[in-house]
Amino acid sequence: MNEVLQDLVILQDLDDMIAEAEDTDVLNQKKKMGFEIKGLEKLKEAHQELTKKIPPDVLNHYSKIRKAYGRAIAPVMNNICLGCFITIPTFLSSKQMGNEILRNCENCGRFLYWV
Amino acid sequence: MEINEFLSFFDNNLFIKEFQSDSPKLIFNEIAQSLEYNKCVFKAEIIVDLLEKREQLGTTAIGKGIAIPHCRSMATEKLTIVVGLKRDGVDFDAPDQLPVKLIFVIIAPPQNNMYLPFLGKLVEFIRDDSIRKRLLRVKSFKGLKKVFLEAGQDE
Repeated sequence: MNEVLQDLVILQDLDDMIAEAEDTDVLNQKKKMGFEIKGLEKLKEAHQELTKKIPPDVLNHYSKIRKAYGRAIAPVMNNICLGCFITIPTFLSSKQMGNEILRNCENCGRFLYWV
Repeated sequence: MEINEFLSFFDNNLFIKEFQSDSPKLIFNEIAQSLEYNKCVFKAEIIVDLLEKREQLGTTAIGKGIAIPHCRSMATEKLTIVVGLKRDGVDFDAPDQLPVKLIFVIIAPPQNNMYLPFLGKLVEFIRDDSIRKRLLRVKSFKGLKKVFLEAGQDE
């Protein structure tokens, strides 16, 4: 798997984890279940560290798309970008090659990964 | 959540009879390898990294020998549960400092809406002293399902 794409997937997952840890409703539910959330700052530091590994132009695009759509990375299934539901052109849609190259959906701009 | 729906998320192939490792990090690695081998995630390293980071947020050990590491990840397509045993126990920085002997791992895709209900139901079962004691004695996937099934029927 392309290293930058892997970092982007983790970054998106971390963004979601942080958002969930800051969501009062979810936080209360988790507390009731017995989970203590006390390391949010540590997690944000880990997030910051990860962003340093990602090339600035890629990170800028990630931030821009995330701001626009909430999610900057989309899975591809059956040649369809599950971010905008547009069919990916055949020359872009090889599953074998899919995760080895960092590519964007030509329609919505999201980074694509093949599942 | 109904018991049959709850049980439908468990998978025999994702039951680890005994973890070989004795640290959370290495156990996460065993779990992720099992997930990748069973084609439940497309990259094991992503899951190891996320489970480790989730522990930074606060331990997922809930005491009395049980931990429930959980996170959402784009690396999976559906709510996926791994169950594993560590008879000698492993230090998970549990609130009661007891070693963890039974681990339930929950990985859910970003927008899965069964994630929190499943987690809630699991915690509800584990909080029951007699169910928890039975769970801590299970040796097989069949035994695990039997405990939950009987507990669900008693509700």
